[in-house]
Amino acid sequence: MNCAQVRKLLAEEGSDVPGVEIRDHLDECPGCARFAERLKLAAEILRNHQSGTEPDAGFATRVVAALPTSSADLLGWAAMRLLPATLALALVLTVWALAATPSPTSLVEQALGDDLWSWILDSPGGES
Amino acid sequence: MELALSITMGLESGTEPAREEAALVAACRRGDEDAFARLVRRHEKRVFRLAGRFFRQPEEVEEVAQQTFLTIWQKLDTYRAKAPFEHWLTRVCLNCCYERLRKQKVRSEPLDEDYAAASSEPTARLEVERLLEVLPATDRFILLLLHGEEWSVAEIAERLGWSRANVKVRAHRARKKLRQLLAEEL
Repeated sequence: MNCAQVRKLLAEEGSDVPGVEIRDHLDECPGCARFAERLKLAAEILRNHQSGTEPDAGFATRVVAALPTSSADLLGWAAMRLLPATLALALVLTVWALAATPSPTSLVEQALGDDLWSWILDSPGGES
Repeated sequence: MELALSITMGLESGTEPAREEAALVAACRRGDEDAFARLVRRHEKRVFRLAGRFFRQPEEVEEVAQQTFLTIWQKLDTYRAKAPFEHWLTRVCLNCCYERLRKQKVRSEPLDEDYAAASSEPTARLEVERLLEVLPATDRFILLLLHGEEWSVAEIAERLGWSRANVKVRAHRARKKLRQLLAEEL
């Protein structure tokens, strides 16, 4: 059994109770023995990892206070979700309204054109 | 281990505590916030202990616990009551922990600094601590469930709602990564 095989087995099966073959290898190979030791240490650290944080007396109250159930919360949530869409719609409508509104010069030009047509149509012989 | 046992055992359906819990869940579904506060008080220690496996800072543990209960409140309609409420709560809590860990790129604090300080071989322990910090958070998540909670692949799959194949692959990848990191240091 070579070092790579030993290390793979140790990592997969844990180093707590190694088999005879692995034990023999570890006795002869300081590198793998060191590897096994580190692996055991890693498992121990993971096993004992616990923050030990306990909930205080006000935790449940804080959770309930954070619930998004009241109508005001829902309204606020809806407003926040709809705000970008509302702004985009307002922008589109503004652009459309500006584009659709004739400029003062075009109004003057249109009025002059109307006058000209009226003069042509109303003038004697204009309709013939 | 105690946590694992309590989760495995759950509340037997038909017993008084189970009926009480079912009534609380039903009241919560109707929007009863007082009932929800009682439900939170009933399970808060369990959730803190589970979140405490993955996060050291008390603020982080509380945030994950709060996120867990908020998710429970929002998704209570999806709870079918086929399995004990605790099982569903555990799944929601583990998913909250996993999501948070996944978003953390690099761990800022060591896994177990108190142990490192008290160790008889502080240098080796600190070295291993540092290597565990380098591990991707999702790999550490699986290793903590395997070594910390001492859950089997099947138990992890059941509690997370993942397939066994998925857990096996992730566990294999995490162990391989740890092995590589330890080997690099020698």
